[in-house]
Amino acid sequence: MPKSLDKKDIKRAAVTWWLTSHLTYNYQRLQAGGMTTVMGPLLNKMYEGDKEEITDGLQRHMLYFNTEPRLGAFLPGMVVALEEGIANNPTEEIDKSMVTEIKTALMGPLAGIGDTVVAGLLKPIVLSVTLGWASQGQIWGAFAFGIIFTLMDFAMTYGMFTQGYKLGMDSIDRFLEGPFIKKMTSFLGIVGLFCLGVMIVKYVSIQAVLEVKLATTTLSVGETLNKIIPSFLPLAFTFLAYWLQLKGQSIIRVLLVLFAIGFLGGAIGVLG
Amino acid sequence: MVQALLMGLLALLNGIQWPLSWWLIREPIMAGFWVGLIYGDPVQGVIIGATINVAYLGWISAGGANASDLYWAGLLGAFVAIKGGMSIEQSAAFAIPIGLLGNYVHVAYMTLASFWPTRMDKLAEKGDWKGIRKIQMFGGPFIVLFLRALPVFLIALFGSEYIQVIINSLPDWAMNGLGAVGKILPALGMSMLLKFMLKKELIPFFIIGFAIAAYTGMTDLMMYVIIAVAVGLLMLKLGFAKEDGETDNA
Repeated sequence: MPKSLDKKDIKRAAVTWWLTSHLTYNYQRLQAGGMTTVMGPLLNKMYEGDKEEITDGLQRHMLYFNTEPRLGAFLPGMVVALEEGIANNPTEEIDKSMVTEIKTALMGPLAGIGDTVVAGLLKPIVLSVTLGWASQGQIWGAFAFGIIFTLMDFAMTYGMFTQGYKLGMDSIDRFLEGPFIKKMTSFLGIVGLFCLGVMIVKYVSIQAVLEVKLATTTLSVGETLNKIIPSFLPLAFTFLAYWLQLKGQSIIRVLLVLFAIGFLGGAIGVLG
Repeated sequence: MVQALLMGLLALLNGIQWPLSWWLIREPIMAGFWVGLIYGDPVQGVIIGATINVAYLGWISAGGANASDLYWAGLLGAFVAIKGGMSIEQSAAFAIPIGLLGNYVHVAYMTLASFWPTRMDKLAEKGDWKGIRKIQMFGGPFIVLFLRALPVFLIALFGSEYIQVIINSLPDWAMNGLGAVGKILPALGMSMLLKFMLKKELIPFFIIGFAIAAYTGMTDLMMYVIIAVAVGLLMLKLGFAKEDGETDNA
């Protein structure tokens, strides 16, 4: 009779996932090695060294896998619960390929949610606050980012992994479609967009420096622009870059366009 | 020599793909600090790292794809800026092209690391889960050692003296151009965030944030985060999250 997993196994699996999921990240299978690394010791324990079952399990998890490693840790956690269920109910009827099917079905949506919340909202906000301190030469500002975000990363990953295990199969739909995710993305969307408006003013510091000599006085184009809409150029260039991306231009091309505008504008003394 | 070795070690830690490296070493704000520490000016390093980081604020990589490599932009960008005695804005203008080069290194890494799963498959056939774990833990860092640490060591060892010479020989108009590039590039990161997050119903919040900051000139972000959290909570209370034509039966 296969063994069950205890709390310690799950904790260790969550930490293993946190530390190793991307260590050998690659084009061929992305996080498959990380997933298998998490499953290895668990399979070994559950099947008590039964080589055939372990081999079968390892091969099952070496298949392509990729999700967002923090909020997406929900999925590996859930898979552990599923594998434990399979090991302890060895009937002919359970088709083990369902593990792969579930992983494949859920890794995309979870990656989408994870990227939106972590890469799109949390990181820029934490980073932009701490960058303000660091750019004034405060070393602790840099460490504030490094340490706070490492802790947040761990808390999210560990929390989602163990939640995924605990909730198991039943709750994933509730999690993905329920009001919680919707409320959280709406809330973070408001905070994110609000701060994004501020960040453009704070961090895109391009100005017009052109001065036009008139009969009696010199007219500073930059100052005049600033009187009408302050930070007009930062806003305009941000929307130019946004528009180019909507038109399907690659990031590299948008980068080169901005680089060229900045370099030429600066070289002839219009921008600065 | 010692500094070059430390740079190589830093590049190794910088390139290892795990959370302890991502946020404490790779992120340019921190990379700038470590490079500054090696060359005796951590404060300048942090300022330069923060400036480079601003240009990458909002860059989102999904599925391992990126257009400019954060790893080298921060590490070598800060190195060139410190050794070349550059102004703060110019450092970002140099870091981004370095990042473009670094991107080829990233692609090479992801390609080379693609050999490891095939090795793992063989171990899986034998049920050797410990072997798979070993490859997962050391396979990636092993490639980083050759692909990132070694080149950085060589650049730090042989390149230092030339950087200052090259930068001093640049004419004024080129330096002005690079300075302006450093000020305009953060717009790209912002636009990526916009593309990622902008939804019609969120536009008013963007306008409010921009208008307050632009007209008052107050840009302390902590204050805005606090205000935004309050506004966000208020909007949830008012049922904002349910606003995409769904009926509310909950």
